Amino acid sequence: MRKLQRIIISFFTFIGGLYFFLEFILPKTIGTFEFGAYHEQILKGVQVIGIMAIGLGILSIVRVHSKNILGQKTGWSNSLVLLLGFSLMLAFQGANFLDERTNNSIKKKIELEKKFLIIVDKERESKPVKPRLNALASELVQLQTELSTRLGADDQQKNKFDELHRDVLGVSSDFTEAERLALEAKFSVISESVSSSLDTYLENSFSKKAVDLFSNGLFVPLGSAMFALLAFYIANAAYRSFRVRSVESFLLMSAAIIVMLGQIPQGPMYISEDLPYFRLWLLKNISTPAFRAIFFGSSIAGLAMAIRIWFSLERGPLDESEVK
Amino acid sequence: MEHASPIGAFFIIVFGGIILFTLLRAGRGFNFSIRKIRAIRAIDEAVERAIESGRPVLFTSGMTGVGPLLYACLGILKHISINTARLGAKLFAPCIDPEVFIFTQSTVQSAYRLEGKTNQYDESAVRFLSDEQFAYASGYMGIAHREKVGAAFLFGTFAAESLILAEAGDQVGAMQIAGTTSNEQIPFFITTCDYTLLGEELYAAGAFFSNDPIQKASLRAQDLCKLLILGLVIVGTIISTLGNLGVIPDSWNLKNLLTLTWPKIFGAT
Repeated sequence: MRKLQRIIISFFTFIGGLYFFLEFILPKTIGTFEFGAYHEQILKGVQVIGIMAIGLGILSIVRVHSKNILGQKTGWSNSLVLLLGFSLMLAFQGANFLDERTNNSIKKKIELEKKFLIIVDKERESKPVKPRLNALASELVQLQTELSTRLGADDQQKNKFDELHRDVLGVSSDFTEAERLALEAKFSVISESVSSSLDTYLENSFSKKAVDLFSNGLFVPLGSAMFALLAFYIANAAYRSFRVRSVESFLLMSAAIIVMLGQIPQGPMYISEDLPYFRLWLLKNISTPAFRAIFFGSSIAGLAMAIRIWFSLERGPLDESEVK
Repeated sequence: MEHASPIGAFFIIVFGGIILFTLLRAGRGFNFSIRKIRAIRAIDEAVERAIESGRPVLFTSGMTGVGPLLYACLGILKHISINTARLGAKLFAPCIDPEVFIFTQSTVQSAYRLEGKTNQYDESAVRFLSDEQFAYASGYMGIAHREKVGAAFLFGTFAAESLILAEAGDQVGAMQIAGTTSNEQIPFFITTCDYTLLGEELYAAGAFFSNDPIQKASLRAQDLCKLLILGLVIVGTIISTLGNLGVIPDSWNLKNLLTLTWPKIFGAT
């Protein structure tokens, strides 16, 4: 069974590797043939597999921290705060998502009704106009009720809807181009006004404010605070690099001094005109080639590893048979 | 979608061919010996030291996504997990990526199974912290400080958080070994960690730990490819210098070859 499992995995790994290899190697099109025509869809499929892993990640967080709280392990209060924050954020983000979805659905309905008017005009020869306009008018009433339930009573907007409703009902079967354009303009005005009211509603909604508070008020500043720690750590690391313990560390310190002094702009602290050139020489002729050599080495090593995985030659970390 | 240029495709095929040929020869009984790297040998020492002082071991693959580099990192993690399982030490392996979390969890589980210590495997050893860079860094710092880790291993891709992670280990006096292919982070690790694996050395660690002839042959193939690159650099330098001196004609200019595109070859628009 294990052997069969291995063969299946090796087969799919080879096919997947072959596809991605050819997709990268071949030109975008060879004549009329496009090898990567479905590349976007394939990548989306790969992403979907990745998204499944998020659920397992969340499970891991919940399991580890629940155990900490239940067992009152060291730092269990941190776990409690984490799980509380996680649950609250999930609830607020969920509520905000639903709010946004409802808003978008209302906006879409208005746009559809506007388009429907054009369709009625186009199809007036084949389909009766009046019943369709009456249906459009009743849709408008429903939309207005839905809006007032969501946003509360707004007399100004209600008047606009009532006016449009009357106009749609009042249109005769042989309405002219000018009449249709006038109605479309009224739809546009209502669409803009409704969009703006819905956006304001969303901005002022509790869920949005809570998400902003947790995200922009807590999460982002905490991330920035962590990033700010780097300044102190870099100073600490720089201090260590200035301790001469071997020939290599002496070279490191000498190069660091030259690069730092060469960086000083012209002014009272300016030491020598040659230093900036020497600094640049060090960076261009010593540092860059060294980094390039490391880059070449790791790229080739990555290619070798990829080939080993592609042809299933690698005795991978998940393999439970030891090499004797 | 990114596609290789003709010259890029040519070199990938050449290097790939050399690597594949050497790997297949290894399968036919050819064996190669490998140079010992101090940082790799120090990995076992770090685990033993942590165990002697009764402190746990911490491992991170940083921001590495699923790919060849993760495979190399997991090879090292497996070796460390086998040691911790054998010697009864506690291991922590926090992850930043949910996909990597699954691979890491399976690797550690597999190591404990190999040692016949499945009952000692702690599910909270491998945990997903956050997919946000600094949230992850703070979580890692928390583990390092709370658990007072004795050894910390940082292998993989790192960005600005590298120094935060390495300093956390340094503050609790852990023996630290790092390895990265992220050029910008190498100096930070060199100044903060006890040992640092540079670039390809990280890939070599797997071959060092396992006795797998395929992995050893892979190192030899990499050396052959690097020799070829060195030869190309020397030839390119000579041609470029002679071109500048006017000794060879302009048509020899390597730039024409390097900037060749597929439409130029196939004549398509």
